[in-house]
Amino acid sequence: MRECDQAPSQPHAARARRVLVTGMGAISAAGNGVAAFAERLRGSETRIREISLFDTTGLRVRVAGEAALPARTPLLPRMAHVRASRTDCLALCALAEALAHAAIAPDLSGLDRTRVGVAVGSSTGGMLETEAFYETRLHHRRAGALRAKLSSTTVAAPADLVAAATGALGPRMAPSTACSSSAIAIAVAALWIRSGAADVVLTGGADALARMTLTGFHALQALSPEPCRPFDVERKGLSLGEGAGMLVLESAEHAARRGVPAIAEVAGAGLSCDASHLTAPHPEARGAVHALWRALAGAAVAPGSIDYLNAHGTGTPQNDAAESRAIREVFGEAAPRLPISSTKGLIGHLLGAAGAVEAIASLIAIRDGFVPPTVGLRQPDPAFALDFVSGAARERDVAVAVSSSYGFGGNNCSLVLRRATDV
Amino acid sequence: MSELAAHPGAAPRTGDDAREASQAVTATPIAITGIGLVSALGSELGATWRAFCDGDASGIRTLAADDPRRDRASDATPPPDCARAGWVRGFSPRDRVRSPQLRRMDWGSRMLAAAARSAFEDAGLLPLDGELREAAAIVAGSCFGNQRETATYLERVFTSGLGAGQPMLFPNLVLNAAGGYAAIELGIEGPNLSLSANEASGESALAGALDLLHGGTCAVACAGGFDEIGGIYLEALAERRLLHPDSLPPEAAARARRSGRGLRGAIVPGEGAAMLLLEPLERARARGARVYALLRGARTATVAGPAHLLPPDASAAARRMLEVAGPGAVDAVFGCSDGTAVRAAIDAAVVQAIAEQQAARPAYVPFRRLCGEFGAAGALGTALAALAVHAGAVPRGLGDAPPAASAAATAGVRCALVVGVARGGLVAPVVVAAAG
Repeated sequence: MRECDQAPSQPHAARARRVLVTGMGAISAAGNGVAAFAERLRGSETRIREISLFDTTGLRVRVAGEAALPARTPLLPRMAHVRASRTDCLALCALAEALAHAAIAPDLSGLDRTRVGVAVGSSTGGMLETEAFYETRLHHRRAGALRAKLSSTTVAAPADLVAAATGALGPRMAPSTACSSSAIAIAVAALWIRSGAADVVLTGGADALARMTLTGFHALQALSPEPCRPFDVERKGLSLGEGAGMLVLESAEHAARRGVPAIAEVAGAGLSCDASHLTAPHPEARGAVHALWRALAGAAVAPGSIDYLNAHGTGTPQNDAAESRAIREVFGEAAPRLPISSTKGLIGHLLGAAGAVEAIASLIAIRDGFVPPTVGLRQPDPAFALDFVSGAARERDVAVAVSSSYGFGGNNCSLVLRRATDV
Repeated sequence: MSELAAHPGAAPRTGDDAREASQAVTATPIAITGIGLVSALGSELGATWRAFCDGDASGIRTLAADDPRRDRASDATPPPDCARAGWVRGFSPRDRVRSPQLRRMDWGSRMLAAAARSAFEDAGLLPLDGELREAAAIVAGSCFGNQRETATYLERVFTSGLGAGQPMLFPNLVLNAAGGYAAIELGIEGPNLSLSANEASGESALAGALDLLHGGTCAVACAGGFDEIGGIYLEALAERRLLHPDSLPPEAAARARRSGRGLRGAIVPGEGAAMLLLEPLERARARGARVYALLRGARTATVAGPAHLLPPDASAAARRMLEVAGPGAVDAVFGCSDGTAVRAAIDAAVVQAIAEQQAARPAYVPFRRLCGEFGAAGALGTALAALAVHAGAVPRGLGDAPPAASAAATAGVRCALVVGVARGGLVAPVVVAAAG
């Protein structure tokens, strides 16, 4: 057990450029926009409903958190309409809001475009459109126009489109680490700013619902037939969702020159791998522990000074147990006092977009001073012995928050977000 | 210091100026100390190097019914119908992968896990001690990931109903399954990053690894990538009429014959995996490791253009590439050419731009002619470039020189540039240089 009031040791405490969040945008089942998301985060009503995006006949589970895409996708280049996937469109919706929030023109005018990077994660990219192609072909119909969508089938497509739509000419990366994709994108984006490789990075992630993921988790018997109930003693599995979260990260110097306020600082990030099983968490939660500990070390903050932990909290028996174990291990005696919640009961599991949207939930908690409840949580599993917030939002000054994401492949990422005024 | 948790051995950096910080980053030399390969050139380092030196393009072939590549014990999913391609040869996963997870792994994961193990082995780092397990990173790039099992899975779901999803197959369908399996194979608990950058996935993975190393996030990184030949890749190329007529899948070939279009494509698809073991030069020297070359630079950047196209302006792409690659003489250019005019033009522009900056023209190495085109081919190209720099020479006569290149210098190769480009105007140069 570690001391909860001591920051993990960091061999090289000298810090280079600070990384600020100056814009954020989100779209999910909780609505299109951060304002709608913030409002829903305070409530206790789930947005997980019957799926309308495709036919779910043959499945025991038919609910998910569907986003309502606007009739017209902002920022979508005219020539890209025929090729863009639903995931691409979700990414652009969130990007448009994030840019506006950061007072950055959609075409980045006024910025040095070569210093603007793009790091956008996705787990499935244009899978929904790929499925349509396969289904059409299998039924001996002409796939004609669907073939054009194959250009957007890779997980890199949202990042490519973000770069093309804005004219960003800096470094680009499309991490794809399943459910931690966009959290890792944010970590990489922050790394670029710290190192001086970029001044501004458009980062986050997007994923649309797809039959592959729905049927896959269904086959693994990981889906809850009703909206998921993370950390509940009667939890039955996860609920899928879709959406996108985009952040504008910016060096403190660059933000100061532009005269824009910051929402928070990306203070630390920890990456790790379970190296034990492709889908099941490490039996001792080693990967989750490493990610949390490395993030705290990077931010040079003590476990006891964390005000809110946005958990991965999927609602599966294995994940919630392993994550709770990791929290107890890392936060030690501070663990029972640490307010914890999962947003997945509200909007479902957004897979590659989850890390970014949940980072935005954490940023809202910092900005608005409350801890969101875990929607669907009625009776916390007593075996976990942790402070899971449920029922209603808890008013609380949140200066430092942690957001954790764990993915298939054992890919883990924890982010430490700190109020900008405390920088 | 990076906001990512630092690892002992990382060089501290201070200062607020971005470019100063960037220069500080490039000042930490990173060595290539291990290489693991599976490709049409060969299934291990020695065979690959010999085939490369010989200009042996026999890996580009049509699979006969009894071709070892069709061994169902090695690759349970039949390769797609694709007449001519750069199929890997001589690769037996059972001889290279030790994890009990082998039976669950798809073909791409098997190639990547084998290449990663070989890279660590080649670097003399096996068995890994506990400290290095926590401090090592894996960075794997792939254009499409596991295409063939995805197709198998979707076919099953769409023919037998949504309830027919296969629980054993589904976990393999995420792009990072291969990276996860490689971590399991070696017990590596450090950062594990999978990414796609389409045609430049290998180069981008190397850039990502360099970011992690310079940020102090890991002590060593095993980086590169993999790709298999799958139906989606072939369809996407066929849709854009880029696939060589001899490599078209049957349906696309029939369409092309009917319409008379799509018969002038040039790309020959390939498959393979290449992983490079990267570590700070100081660390490598302290442990007496052999250094193939330094990874002098690996970065991504963008030139303006549509999201689904390669950089349309070859000169602009070349300028941006060299700007990002940084200053210094280049003796050899490992080109991006896959036979298409746009890539040949980019190669020619890069060679020309370098020739204008220095006295001697660089040698030109269109290595994809020997292995076919795949998303992670740039990692293989980087491995070949490192071996060439280590040997001080590149082989002669890999094919026609690009329009702007004159006779290639084949000796005295101390620095090589690997040209990475991808759709969306991505440029991803990788520079390897002699260690000293």
